[in-house]
Amino acid sequence: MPTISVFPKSEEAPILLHAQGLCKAFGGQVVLDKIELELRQGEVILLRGENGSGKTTLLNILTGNLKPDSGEINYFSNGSPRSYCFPQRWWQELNPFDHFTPEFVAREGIGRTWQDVRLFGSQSLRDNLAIAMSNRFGDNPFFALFSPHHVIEREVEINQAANTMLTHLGLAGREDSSADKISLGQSKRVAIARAVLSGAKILFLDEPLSGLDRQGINDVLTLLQSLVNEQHLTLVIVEHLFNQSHLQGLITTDWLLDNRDITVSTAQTPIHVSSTDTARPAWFSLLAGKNTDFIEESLPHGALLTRIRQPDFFNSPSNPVLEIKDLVINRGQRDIIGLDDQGDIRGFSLTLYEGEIVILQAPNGWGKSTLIGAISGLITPRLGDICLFGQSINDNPVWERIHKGLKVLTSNEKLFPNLSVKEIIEITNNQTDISIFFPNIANRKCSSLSGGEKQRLAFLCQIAPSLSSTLNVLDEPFHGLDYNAVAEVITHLLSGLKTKAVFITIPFGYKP
Amino acid sequence: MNYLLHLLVYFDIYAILALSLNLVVGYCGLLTLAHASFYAIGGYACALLMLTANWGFLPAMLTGAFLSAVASLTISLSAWRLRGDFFVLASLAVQTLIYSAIYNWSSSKYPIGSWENLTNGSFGLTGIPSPKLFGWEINGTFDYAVFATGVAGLCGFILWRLKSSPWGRLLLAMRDDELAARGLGKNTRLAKIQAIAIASAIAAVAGALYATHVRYLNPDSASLDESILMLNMVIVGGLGNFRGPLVGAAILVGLPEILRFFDFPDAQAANLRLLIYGLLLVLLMHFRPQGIAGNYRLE
Amino acid sequence: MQALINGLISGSSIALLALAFQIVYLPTRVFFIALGGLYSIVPCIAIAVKDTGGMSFAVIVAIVGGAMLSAFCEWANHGRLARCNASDGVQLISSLGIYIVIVQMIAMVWGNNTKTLRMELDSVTTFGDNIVVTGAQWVTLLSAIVSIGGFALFLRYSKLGLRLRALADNPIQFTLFGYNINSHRLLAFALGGMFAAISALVTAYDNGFEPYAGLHAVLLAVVAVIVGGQGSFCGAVLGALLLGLIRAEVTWYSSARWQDMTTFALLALFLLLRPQGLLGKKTRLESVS
Repeated sequence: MPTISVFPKSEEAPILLHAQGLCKAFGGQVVLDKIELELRQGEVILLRGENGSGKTTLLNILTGNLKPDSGEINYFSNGSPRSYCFPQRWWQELNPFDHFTPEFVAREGIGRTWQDVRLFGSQSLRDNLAIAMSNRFGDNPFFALFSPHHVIEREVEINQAANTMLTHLGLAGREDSSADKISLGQSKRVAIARAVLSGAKILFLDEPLSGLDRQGINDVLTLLQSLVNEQHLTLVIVEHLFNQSHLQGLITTDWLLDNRDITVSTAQTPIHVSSTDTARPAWFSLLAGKNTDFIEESLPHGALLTRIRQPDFFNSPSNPVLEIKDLVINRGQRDIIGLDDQGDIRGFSLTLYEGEIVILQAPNGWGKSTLIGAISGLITPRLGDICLFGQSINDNPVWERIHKGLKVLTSNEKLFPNLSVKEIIEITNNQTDISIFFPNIANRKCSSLSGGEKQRLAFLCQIAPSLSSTLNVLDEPFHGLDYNAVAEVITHLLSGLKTKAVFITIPFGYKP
Repeated sequence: MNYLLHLLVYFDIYAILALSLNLVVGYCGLLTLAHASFYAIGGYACALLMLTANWGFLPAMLTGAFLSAVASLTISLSAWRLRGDFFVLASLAVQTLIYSAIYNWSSSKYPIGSWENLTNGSFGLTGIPSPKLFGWEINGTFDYAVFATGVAGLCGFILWRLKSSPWGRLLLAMRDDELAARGLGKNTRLAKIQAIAIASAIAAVAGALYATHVRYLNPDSASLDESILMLNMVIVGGLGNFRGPLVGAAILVGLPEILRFFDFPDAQAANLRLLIYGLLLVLLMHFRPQGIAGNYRLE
Repeated sequence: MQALINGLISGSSIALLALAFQIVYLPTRVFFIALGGLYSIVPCIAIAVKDTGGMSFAVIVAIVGGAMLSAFCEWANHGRLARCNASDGVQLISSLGIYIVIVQMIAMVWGNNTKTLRMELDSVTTFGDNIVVTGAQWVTLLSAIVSIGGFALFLRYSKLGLRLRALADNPIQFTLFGYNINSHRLLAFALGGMFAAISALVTAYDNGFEPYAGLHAVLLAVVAVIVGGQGSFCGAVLGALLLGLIRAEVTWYSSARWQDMTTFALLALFLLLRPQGLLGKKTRLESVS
């Protein structure tokens, strides 16, 4: 998508936001360390970084959703400059007029969208947009009651603007339909429009392309393009690796968040990630051993399935371990699993045979965790069957599925914050003792562990060799682990005594 | 006939209460058990001003509404920090506090209405005069029924006007997703304070109606049972729209009258009524959490 | 000094109830207002049994009855709602409904008046010049120490205790380790009911009881939980002791009328300045409050 930025060079444009010395730690784990950054009008920034590198944390801080531990943020986007210094004194927290909160930061001309969209579900599309525009009289109940004339005058303008915007978004005629009844791509565009109408000069977009099909991505890109070219908005986009190539041409500046620090550079040609390039990262060979075949299948919405058949265990595709038949899962009003590329309901089907290691690579927002939730019984699918070792487990609650030989590692890294490592190992009830792998941290509380340590612990608790036959289901299992740790846990995984099959999901193009 | 008119007045009073409570529970998503306190504050303020200072009904009622709105700051400020279950608890604390204040603010040595004996404690206030409005002495049951219906209609109109205004839209947005609303620069804390204050002021109007209708007021109007009754009305009827609370008020005002047809001893009848209210809450949560005519489920 | 001792002792009976609340709230996230109903009904059971079976038998029956009634609430109501993914508000309202039903049943069967479990005059122990501890206070103190201490040991050293803590920390991970959530929830409710029963019995023995006192007691317990820190068992006990002390001091130096006022002032103070409580830590906030 070739474009020429019409705005003057970034050095001449006015600074809209300046932050320095930003630090943030969660429970002793430092996420951001003395970050300094500067945002000029007309810039379009791609904020990159590994999962867990603090992209969302930085976004939350800059939009007032989260207080940094220390540092300073200056907003110049709304005429008069405003600055916030951290840490705040306790009495500042009591002052109701100078809070570092989302609503006050939003009034400085900062808008944001969420990864999970967050439209106002019970209201119509028109109201969703109308609410963003301020009605000085109408937002006050006193005037709403006693001076309806003023209110209605502005209200007519607002509704007109909302309708115009909806037409611009291609949603003319759907002004009155409820916000939870439109497609994901449409709702993402409505959410962006909503932020723009609220008067944002800087727009922070959290994964605006995730979970969208080709058409949806193009529509969002067109919208962003027009915002930059026509309204000269400044954008900060957090986007996952898989979708970054779509943003090429739009991006002027690149922020790389790595190792708690930020590196600013002018836009680079993003590494073009496509299914074929990243299909088989080098570390797959750790799983595969030497002479095994990779069998690849592509799934709807850009997901890729790789089957690794272990020669010692795999006979022929005759012994199914896990069968998923015609699964449809919805979240709220919207189906998220079981749609084909055109958006029609087809049902999601997948079979895992004995001796297979199956890796599902899918972009963020594809619904990996939802799928794992349905397999483990945490989420009830709308339609479809799931069978384990030939038996239907639809009616089994989670723990009965576990007793039948399912072992699930979720991507939620919380574990048990208030238990010690020793206690966690005790509670897993494994037949083999894994405490030897944690010699020095046995008495530490789980909440004090680093992300990597926690992940390694969770991993080993789940895959400890067991005497009964198992299916291991691992959701983003290598998150936070370095290459050596990945190699270690994979060795353990492969040495599991009676592991029948392994199902792994990872974000696209994941590299330890 | 008189009996039906009495029922109509009660329905009017509870319809006002249920509609105003719906503004807090159904539109802000804040479950509160303190609504009866504001109702009682309104009733007491109006009654005392009319009894001891010889004020007219209208100024006394408006003063009550104002005081009630000010008192409602106690729960709206706790809504800043608390959400969900713990907010309910805070509202319960406010309710206990106001109830015990009304119950204990008495001393037999001093006249009613003096600073030492403001509420006359558990004996309550008697002989509250009937309202006079622009020369219209509202005396008989029929007059009062007309008057109460008029006031209820007015309150209903005010609430309806507010709900269909941009401010009402803001409340709904806040209930759906408060963080998203704040991200658009909306001061949701202020909106909550406003909504709770308005609801409390309107509850105080109902309190003034009750005081001047029955002409007797005791701390029972501030009791938790009363709060639970109001909450029951909005939950049974349904949250988040206009007809739900009306349906709820009609059902729960009618229920004790139906019980009257069965011969229960008086002492037991009151308990039985409350027991049925409790049972209704439990059953509704299982079978119809959005209430009979509602469209919003509690969070 | 006398006020200090009174405070500690009344604090320990609040602590029992606060613990009961936390035992239910932490693993299940049910705001168990019906605990107030249990608190009211347990002494009634005791008094009904006492005439035929003697005091110690009555106490055992009452405690077991409390635990079973609490477990019944979970089995018949909260568990079912939880399996339909009911929201917190729904759980709370249904719990409130149960509270009303229990209290009204008590009022219908046993009447509204205040009763006491203790028929005889209380014995008195005097320390030094003027410090007095009554027999009922000894009972309160001892049963609180024994049951809270026992529970602490149970949590710390038994397998079941460990599982309860794990359930409180992360129910999803807990069930993914193959544990039956429903039965552990049932256990949490039964334990909670047991502690509420003990708390109700010692208070009824000391001060008497009436049907409507339960909600007020639960209110105090939850204030103690907020003051101590919402996330831990330890905080609940600490908060309750602090609350008991402050209330006793207020009674000693001023009047019992101001007890509730001070309690809620303390609550407001904590909400404003230290919302996470004494022992709470600030957590990673997904959404700011």
